[in-house]
Amino acid sequence: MSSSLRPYLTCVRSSLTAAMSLCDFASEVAERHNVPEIESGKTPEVLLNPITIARNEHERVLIEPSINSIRISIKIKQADDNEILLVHKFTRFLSQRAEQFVILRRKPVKGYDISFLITNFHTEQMLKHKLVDFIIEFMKDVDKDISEMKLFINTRARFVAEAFLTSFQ
Amino acid sequence: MSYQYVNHRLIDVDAIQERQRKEAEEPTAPEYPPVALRDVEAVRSACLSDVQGDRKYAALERVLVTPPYGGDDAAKDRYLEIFLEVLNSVKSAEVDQILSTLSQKPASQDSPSGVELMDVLMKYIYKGMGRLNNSASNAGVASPVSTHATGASTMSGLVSGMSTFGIGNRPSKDDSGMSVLLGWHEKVVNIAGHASIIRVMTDRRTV
Repeated sequence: MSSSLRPYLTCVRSSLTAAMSLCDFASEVAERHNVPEIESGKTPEVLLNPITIARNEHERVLIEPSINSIRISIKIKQADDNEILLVHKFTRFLSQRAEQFVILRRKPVKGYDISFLITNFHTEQMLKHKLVDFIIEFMKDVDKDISEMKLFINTRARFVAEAFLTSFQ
Repeated sequence: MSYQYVNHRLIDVDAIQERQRKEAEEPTAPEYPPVALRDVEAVRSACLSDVQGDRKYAALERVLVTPPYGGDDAAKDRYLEIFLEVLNSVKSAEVDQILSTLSQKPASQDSPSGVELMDVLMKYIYKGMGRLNNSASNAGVASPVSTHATGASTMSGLVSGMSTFGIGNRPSKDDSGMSVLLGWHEKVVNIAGHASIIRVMTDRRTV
């Protein structure tokens, strides 16, 4: 792991652990409803200060906590047009299957590439530290996956170009 | 018109309902007196002389004791610049020593205890990391310190502050000082624990 990635992930881990102190909270707006307060935003007194963790200008995490839910948004590193396209396709692929990933949000928060929404029901059903681990693992793997895909695209493009141009020799 | 012709879908049930919920109010922070930019500059010059006299701990304590809770955005941004200047002037080997001194500081007449100062420190670390959200567009512009009346370009303040102090960890160009903040964050969590982060999120007194 690179030297600047470790403190970044440590910071995200401790912030997530702290933010994930959730409890059940029935909606005060509609009777017999129980909605993630961070999404409805209709009860401002239960929303907490959002915090940002940044590794540099291009990689950052936004954590928006509330009494019964937190929203975690991740901006993935995108160095060039290739990576921008890859990240877009990759996060779209995941977001379309958000139901299977349970805590994934269907739409990322503006300015970020992918968002997670964790409610008190998730922390009751699943182990809290495993949820934190999952996010950290995701952040670790996504960079690796994107750079692998980029290399793969380059290799394939070179191969295709060679195969195409041999017919003109 | 008899009852059966009333289109019940058009009845506004909310108007009939007697007890309506009061409009949600923004939670308000406790009132603090407004902070003028002049006061912020006074803190800055005091910190500058502390840092130049190699009294890093004194500079950090001075900047943490008087956070501008009542100040406007310009004053708060300017204060953040001072804070970042102080943090960047501290070498990473000295951080542990400074933090352990800070955490053991008892409360006194004119300053709160070390634990509370650690919370303020944590607030500024997060604010320092969040500043790229707002000022990413003018991040590359370097301007002299004297033109910082608006506090709009936080990044340039950091860069110019570094050059005025001329010592400490110069952040590498690409991470714009984040590694310094991340390093401080880890050490503060080691001493103050997760509770410090929770207090950053719950405290309505924003810096």
